[in-house]
Amino acid sequence: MFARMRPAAALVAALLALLSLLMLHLGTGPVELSGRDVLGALFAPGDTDPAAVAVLRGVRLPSALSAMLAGVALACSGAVMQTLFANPLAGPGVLGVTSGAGLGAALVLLVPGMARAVGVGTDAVLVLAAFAGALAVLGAIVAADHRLGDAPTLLILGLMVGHLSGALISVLEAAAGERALRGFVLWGMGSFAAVGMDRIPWLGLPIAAGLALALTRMPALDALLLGEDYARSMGVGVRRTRTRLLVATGLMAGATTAFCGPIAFIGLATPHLVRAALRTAHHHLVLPGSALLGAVLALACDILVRRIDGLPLNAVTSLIGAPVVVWVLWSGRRWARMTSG
Amino acid sequence: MSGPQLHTEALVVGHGGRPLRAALDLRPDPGTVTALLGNNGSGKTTLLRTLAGMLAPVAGRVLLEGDDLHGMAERARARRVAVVLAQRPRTGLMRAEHVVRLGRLPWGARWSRTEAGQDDKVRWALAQTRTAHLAHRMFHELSDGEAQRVLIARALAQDAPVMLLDEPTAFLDVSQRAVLMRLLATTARQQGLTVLLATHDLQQALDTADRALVLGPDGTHFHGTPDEAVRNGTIAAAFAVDGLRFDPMQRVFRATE
Repeated sequence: MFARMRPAAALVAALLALLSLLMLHLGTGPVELSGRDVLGALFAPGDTDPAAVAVLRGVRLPSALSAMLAGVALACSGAVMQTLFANPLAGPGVLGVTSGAGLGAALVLLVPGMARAVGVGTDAVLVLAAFAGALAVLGAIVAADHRLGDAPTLLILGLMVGHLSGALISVLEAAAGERALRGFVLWGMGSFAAVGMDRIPWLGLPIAAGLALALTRMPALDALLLGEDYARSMGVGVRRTRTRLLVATGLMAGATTAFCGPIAFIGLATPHLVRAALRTAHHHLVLPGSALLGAVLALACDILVRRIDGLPLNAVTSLIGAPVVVWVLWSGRRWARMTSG
Repeated sequence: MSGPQLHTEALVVGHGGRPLRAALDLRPDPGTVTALLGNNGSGKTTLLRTLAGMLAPVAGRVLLEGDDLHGMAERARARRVAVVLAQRPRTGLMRAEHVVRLGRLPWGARWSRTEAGQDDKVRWALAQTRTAHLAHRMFHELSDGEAQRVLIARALAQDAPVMLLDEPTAFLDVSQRAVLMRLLATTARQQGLTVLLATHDLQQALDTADRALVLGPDGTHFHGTPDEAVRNGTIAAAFAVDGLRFDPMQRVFRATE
């Protein structure tokens, strides 16, 4: 893994891994489906067992899609954040966007009557509230950036927003009833299974918009690797670019957290793996690479969740993600520690 | 677009609206290297950052070919002023060639790195700074001298008529300093660039720079040839410290008996 991979070879390997994991993922669950069933249900539903078609199209496919979308969104947000803040420990959650989403979710799930008061289905309200929470935090951070204007301060502010949201959530938890609490704890464990096929576009659209925003600012991201002063001297409107990229990561991480819950480590670990494998910090390789590997990792984690009953998704991503970060730092010498510095 | 490459009009630099020095009217000639000399706190870096557009002036204007630098869009400014900062940047995993290529950023599309003819500029900048053999090395593995030359190549690739450098020789050993200063002087002359550099390396600057801009402790300044600055006592006054005496022949400070 730590021999340098040629980008073309890495692309082929990642695509193969993605396809095989996708097949495995679609076949895995309480009802095991063979590869033939999976392909049949996808491409020739008329000639396949209707039960298999129903399971695959109704349950498996949306959860595989949401896993892949979440993987793409989290990994790309992580890569952008790490460059933006010149901090290898930055991730999608670093600015409190995830905590904002958590607070939104907590308000809906923990405050009695809150969901009913709005008058739509609880899960739709939940998603909306979590997304609104994420965007509210994002808005506050962007406003703070325009007033304070330097990245390290922003990072501290994000941490404080995170702590504040955490404290508010604790207050809500203490006051909440047992059933409500259970619902919130489940949301906090993260899951790719909760998004139905009809909701996939609502998850996909903000992620696509965020991704497009990030992908069209790759030269500026490269320049930012040299630091904000150098980037400015090479014609990058640093504050404008930062606002744009904050909105991009907010859309991606916010939508993902709203639909799937807070998911740890995919956003933090994936970009490090990509840089390590390709030996480059260039965003033309790191962003597409992170997107692809993020999807692969999210699928792999979800397969484990399905195989081992009752295992929370967040536990799996952390169990895999944390050692990966340690491994990257440990095995690579100078370059790994300097990946984003 | 007319007028000198770089020109200041009653420029007062400072932080937060507080002036640091008296007004400066500068008009360095194209093809020359001007050394910015002065003690710590004399405002060398503040002046340089103002000329680079990173800091707004307290009063007065900086003009690039007649256009107000601080009213320009970032990209337009980057096409006319290139900067080499004092701190060596931590680039992450990037090859030297890619660092140089970043200099083409103000000339390419915002969303893509493709731009016709950029390879020629990059190759030329690498050759000019004698860093072609380092092109495929990782930037963070280069020695300080090599890294500094690569950063200057990046500034050259930016193709701007004005180049500003903050302490470019600060972390280099003696031979590397001489190499770097000669490189800057040759490039400035050949390409008709206006080069300004802030430095603590008095002797090197007096030996190689075409002009010296000495920022005195009393807020006054002197702008002329290094020889004049030495002969008329500007240098001795600017760096005056009890117990040290400037030797104009050797161009060094010596302890008084």
